[in-house]
Amino acid sequence: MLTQAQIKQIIPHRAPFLLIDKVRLGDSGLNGTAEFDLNQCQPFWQAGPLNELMSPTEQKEALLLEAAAQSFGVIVGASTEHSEHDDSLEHDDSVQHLLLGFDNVSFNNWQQQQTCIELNISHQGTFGQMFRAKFDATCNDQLIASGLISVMQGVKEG
Amino acid sequence: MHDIQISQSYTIDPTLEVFKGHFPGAPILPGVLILALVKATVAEQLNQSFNINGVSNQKFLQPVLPGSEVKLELKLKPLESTDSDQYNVSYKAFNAKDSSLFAKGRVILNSKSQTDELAA
Repeated sequence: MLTQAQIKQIIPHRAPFLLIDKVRLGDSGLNGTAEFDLNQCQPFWQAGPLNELMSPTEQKEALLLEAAAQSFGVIVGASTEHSEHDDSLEHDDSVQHLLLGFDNVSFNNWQQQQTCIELNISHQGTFGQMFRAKFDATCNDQLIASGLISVMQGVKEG
Repeated sequence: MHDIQISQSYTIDPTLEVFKGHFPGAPILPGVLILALVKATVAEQLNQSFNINGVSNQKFLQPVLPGSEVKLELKLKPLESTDSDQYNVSYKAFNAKDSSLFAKGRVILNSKSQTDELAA
């Protein structure tokens, strides 16, 4: 089980936009499970036109998708940057994971009170430096969302 | 019901709190927030609240930097097989500076009242 401190060594996201608390890596492959609590997402719109349009609770679907992206980024990063026996999880700053997109995402009557969410990530394929996974988001064993997510691993220039 | 077209521009405020964490020293607007912006734009234009019911063919093509002007172009198609309060929204988010694409995709929006009825 990776704690948030370890997660921060793998992905560059920080408060108030580091959304996942824990990630459990699967026994094999680029699979795993993450935990995400919508209530712990601090309000992050301070000012500007976006704030006039919506509150943080209005962004819940976007936040869930972001949590899925962060989870998959951690799983890919942990698997590709570190060997099985490397416990240091020292982050290689030159490697970054970019969110490419989503597909076939559906939300299933996600209720307001369903805030503690488990994200199950299962690897679907790797195409060069692009990784694709399926995610299922559940709350108390009820499926609230599912879909496909794609991230790309790249190396920073300079 | 006719299709509806909406065009709306936003300047991304560089002081948004989200930039502190996404990412420190290299701020980029999280791509998923473009989806939230699409939902909010439709809600404002139609004076209704919506939930996102589905997302497909979503592609993030280039980062949105603080201060960018994002021009959203939306095409709303009411889903007649279900209810006029459900829309299939095709969207493109352009960089107003050079007309390049930030993102594009398709979102299904359900009015909140309809979603609540289904859940009851």
